[in-house]
Amino acid sequence: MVSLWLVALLGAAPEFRVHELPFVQASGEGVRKYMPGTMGGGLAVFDFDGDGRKDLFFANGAELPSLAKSSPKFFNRLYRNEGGGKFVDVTEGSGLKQIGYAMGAAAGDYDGDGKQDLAVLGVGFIHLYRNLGGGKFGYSELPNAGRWAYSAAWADLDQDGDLDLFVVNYVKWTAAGDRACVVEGKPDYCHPRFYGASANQLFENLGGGKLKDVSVESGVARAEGKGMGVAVGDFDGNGLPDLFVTNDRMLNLLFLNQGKLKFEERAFEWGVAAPADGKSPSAMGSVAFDYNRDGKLDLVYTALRDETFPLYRNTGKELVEAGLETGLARLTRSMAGWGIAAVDFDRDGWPDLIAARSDALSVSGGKGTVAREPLGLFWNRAGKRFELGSELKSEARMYRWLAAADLNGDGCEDVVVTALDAPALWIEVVCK
Amino acid sequence: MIWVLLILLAQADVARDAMRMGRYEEAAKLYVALAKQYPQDFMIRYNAGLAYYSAKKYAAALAEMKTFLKSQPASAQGNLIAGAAMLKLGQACPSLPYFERAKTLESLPEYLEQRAEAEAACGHHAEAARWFELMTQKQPKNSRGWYGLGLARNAEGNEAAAKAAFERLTLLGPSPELRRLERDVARGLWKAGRFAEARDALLRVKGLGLNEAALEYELGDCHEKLDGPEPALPFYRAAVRLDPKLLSAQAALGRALVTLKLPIEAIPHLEIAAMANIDKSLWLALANAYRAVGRNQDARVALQKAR
Repeated sequence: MVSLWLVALLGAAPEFRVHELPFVQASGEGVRKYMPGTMGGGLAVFDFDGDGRKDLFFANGAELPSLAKSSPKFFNRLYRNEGGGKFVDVTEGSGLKQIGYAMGAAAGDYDGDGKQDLAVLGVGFIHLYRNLGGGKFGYSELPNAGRWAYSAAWADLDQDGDLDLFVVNYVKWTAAGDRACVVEGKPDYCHPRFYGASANQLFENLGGGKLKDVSVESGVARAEGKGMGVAVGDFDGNGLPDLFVTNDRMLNLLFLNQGKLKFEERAFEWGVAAPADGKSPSAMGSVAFDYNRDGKLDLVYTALRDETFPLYRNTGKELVEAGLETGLARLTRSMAGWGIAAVDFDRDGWPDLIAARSDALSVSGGKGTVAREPLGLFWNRAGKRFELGSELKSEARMYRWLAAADLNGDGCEDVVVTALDAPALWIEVVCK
Repeated sequence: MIWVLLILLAQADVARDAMRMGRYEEAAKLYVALAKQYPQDFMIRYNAGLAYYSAKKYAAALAEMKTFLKSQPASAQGNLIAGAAMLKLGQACPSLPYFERAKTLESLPEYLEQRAEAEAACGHHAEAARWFELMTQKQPKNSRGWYGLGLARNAEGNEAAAKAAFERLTLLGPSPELRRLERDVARGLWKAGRFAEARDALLRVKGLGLNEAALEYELGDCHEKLDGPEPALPFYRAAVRLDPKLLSAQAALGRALVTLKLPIEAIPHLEIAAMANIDKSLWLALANAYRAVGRNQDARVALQKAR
């Protein structure tokens, strides 16, 4: 009887079934470790054909240092979800261009025609794919001045009823300017300090399928960074979506939305520029979620080993570090993470966390295979503490990014996760 | 002529007394003054060199000894002191010819140790091992010999022989070399990310009687890497108590305190560390601490310095 009560209190852990998907990310890594080789693996989960099932788009790498998609293994891929765990490659004829080293993707119906469109980010480009229907996409480019566009979010930032696009830019990098670095005697990826910072970009949706670069006038171009992830949410409670940008070993940015597409950067004042100890971590993926269900949006992001996955509790006036009080700091101290999502897997009403883990260094580098890690699952215990979940069995890989969505239509959110030079995984969450 | 000799003898007596009393620098100066008066007496140069070496003024010792060796190039003692001075000055490889010329002294433990150290520092691991081995044969209770032998064998890639040497060192009981060995082990483990083992190795060093700020700081760091700032705090505090000038400990203590939401206590430590400019991120930690206590203007200034 007691155990039944406990189960009811804690929620029932679901069954996790791990399936390999047909997509294999190609990083292009060779002996020389060109920076993009460790950064890829972005994806988007969206219903491109309007059949009610979530489909998959994978941004893929390229040959290095040429950045050319010189082989089909580097092609970006679109998979139609046909149900029953079947994903069919429908890239051919879709109009998705096979150009450059793609890093990330974001889906959203920016032209308001009811069909999900796609922005694909990469080294030196922002590609915009307008969903024409029938599995076809119209291609255009957004200006980015050769920057390394890394991730993006569609959101109605000016509350005018259409989706604007915020693009996170990473370091200033060119193949010619790539540094050769060595870690414990072997070629490996360089620390981001060797490369300059970039400003992020904001594109206002003018309607009629037109996007205008308003980075400067909106204020987002004022602060530079080495951006990786973006979390959108109303952190200050003024009813407008704000933008939190994680930066790689630089101060994070919090753009508070002042209305009319004007933003003020307030990461320091809100306590999220860097952890209290002042050490800017390799902040990677982030997610805004209300972990303690107090009605205010909290924040968590991943980072590398010794940096923990910092968790912040929103007091309404600032975001205060909550990693120690919830135990998440202790759990994640020895972990490295990239993508992170908040999903209430056990349906107890408290959002849990899942993280795509692995180091930024290469498995062929000086530190070797310790760079590989398994996926990380963290149970949210009533908003008070996090516990490490052991229910999700995954082998150690170079996991990179993930997205949560109900792929099998059973009402429970699943997770799709990518890994460098390995098949993407569908973590099927079987409802209980 | 006799009175000149008498003066010389009297001055030499004063210098010799200073040497005997351990006032090496004073002795050295007296010998140098004598050498200027009596440049033909090469032994005064030798004594001056020896006095400087004893006073740990190695550059001056080397200069005097080189002057002496111009007239007495085959002097084994002169070459030994010159070589030892060079070794102390970090000139291990150039010191080797001097030790070679002093080889007639190879039965002396001092020679063996200096020669072995020089070979090791010059990267001649096999030669170093050979000399350390001779040293351990002559002085089996000298922990320095076993420590050096273990390091040299390890550098050669002969792990089994290294282990055997280190085991002999351990059997000798507490010694500075055993502490160094455990410290080396701890650092290697720390570098490999094996923080629990590194912490245990450092605790063994502490158990060998070392009470040092750097050791406490390293222990704190291992604890922090393993379990966060809270268990690290007592070690950082101990480090700062033992040596307030140890900036790494001041920084670590300040960072830990501000993370543990104790900004008022953190501020003085962070101010000391930040102002020493050892790491720009300390300004950010300080800015966070100022912000937490409402010192917003100070926070803005510190933030500017962090950027």
